[in-house]
Amino acid sequence: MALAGAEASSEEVEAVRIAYGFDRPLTAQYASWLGDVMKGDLGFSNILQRPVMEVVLERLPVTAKLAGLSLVFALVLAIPLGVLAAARRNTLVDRLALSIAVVGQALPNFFFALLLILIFGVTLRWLPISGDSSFLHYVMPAIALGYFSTPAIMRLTRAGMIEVLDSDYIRTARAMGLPCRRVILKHGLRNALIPVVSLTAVQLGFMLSGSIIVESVFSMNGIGRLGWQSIQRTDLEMMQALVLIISVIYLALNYFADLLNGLLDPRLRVQ
Amino acid sequence: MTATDMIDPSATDTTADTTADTTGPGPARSSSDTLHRALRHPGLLIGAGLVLAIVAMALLAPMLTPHDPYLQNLSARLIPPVWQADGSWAHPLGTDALGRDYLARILYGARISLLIGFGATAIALVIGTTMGVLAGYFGGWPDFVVSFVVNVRLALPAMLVALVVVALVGGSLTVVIWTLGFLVWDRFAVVMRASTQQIRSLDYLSAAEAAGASVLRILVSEVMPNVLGALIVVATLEIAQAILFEAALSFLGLGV
Repeated sequence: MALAGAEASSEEVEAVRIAYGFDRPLTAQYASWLGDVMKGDLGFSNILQRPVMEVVLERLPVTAKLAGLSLVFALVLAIPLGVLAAARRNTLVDRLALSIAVVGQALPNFFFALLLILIFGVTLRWLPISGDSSFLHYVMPAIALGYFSTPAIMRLTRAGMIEVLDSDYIRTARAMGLPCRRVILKHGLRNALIPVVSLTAVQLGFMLSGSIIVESVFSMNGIGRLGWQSIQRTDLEMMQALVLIISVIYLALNYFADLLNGLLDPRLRVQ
Repeated sequence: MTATDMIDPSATDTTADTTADTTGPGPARSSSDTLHRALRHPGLLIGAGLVLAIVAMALLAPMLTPHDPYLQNLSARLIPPVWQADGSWAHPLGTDALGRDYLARILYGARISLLIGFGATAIALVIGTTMGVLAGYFGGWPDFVVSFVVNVRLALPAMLVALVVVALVGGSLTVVIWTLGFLVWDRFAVVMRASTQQIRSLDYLSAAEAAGASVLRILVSEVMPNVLGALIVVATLEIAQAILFEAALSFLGLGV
């Protein structure tokens, strides 16, 4: 309907339907779409009049860069906090680290993003508030997106560290008189990080989903904003392809995390 | 590593302080004793107070503000809140560009948010718990099927799918509740599966089987009470998630 125009006659609408194959049964349409996907053809966006693949590849680098930076931010904030919280368990430091993390989960993504814009963009004028042309444009979106993943990573790091620090080999290392810092960082962290790797892969998947909001707030032309725009202009081919692409990326990330775990923990390789 | 290991610790960790004492399956403790312990826990009291306050504000909205949240009044547009120079107590938080009272909109909006939070979580709870308990109890192929469905769900970008559904079907309260309910059940399934597996081989389940109890009876009266603690923890977290999720949908213009 949208393609034929608002004032199209019923004959014109019918002609458009036949031209684009919308008159065929749904199952047939789906089967031919699936067949094309297997051949690496994600379809043709009738709204943009361009192949879906071309548009997505154009937008993907922005989202990849955003998700990567967000992840770096989340890890840099969450892992030290988690280690600190575990090393100083049940003290004020622990509580403080936990509350920093919980705030990240409680604040809606878009609200936090708008706060950042208000503080760093409008009042202090340190950072550009929209677009994706330079590295500085990525700073605020990466913080907004990364902060949301912080609590989960931090809590898992803390739980992992506590478990590891209670184990026998840590007690042995301590008994041997190794300095505390070395015990925690070298012997403890490596083992505590194994579950964190898997969680990070999951979080990266959520970031792809969360990038819809953050990219919209900061007007960045990544695939998240592309998804939102496609919904607004009912670009079905694009939406279908985006759901598929994000799912595949998520699966690939999980697979990669499993491989990485095998590298980190020789015990897992046997199974 | 499966999703279970990743979600379980984070799911139980936050509320462990507050709920473990009161809802854990543990040995039977008299209710007054439990209440006494709970009352001594400041974190629990503050949290419960906040939740009660929000629920009360949502329920008592008409008594707290004289204004209609939907009524537009173009002669009273963009009134600043009361702490600014030309604000007035008639509109404590001011009015928006269409002259609607902000306080009324927040109070009545809380009703919708709570309704979505509880509604979506209730749907998710039924779907996720059924799948998780069945998978955990029977193992074998039901477990395989459930794990597969959970993985498919986890791979789907929830926000994008919710947006697409709401855009195609139209954004009414019912549609949003059902859409979210069908998207946020994964944690229920994962945690319930793990909890059921943990108690699967315990003696009282074998005893019930030996006594000839039907599967339904075992699941309802033996398994469910013992996984209830974890269920409540997941449910409280999911209500919060669902409310945030809906807020994001509304922000993008496709909510209620």
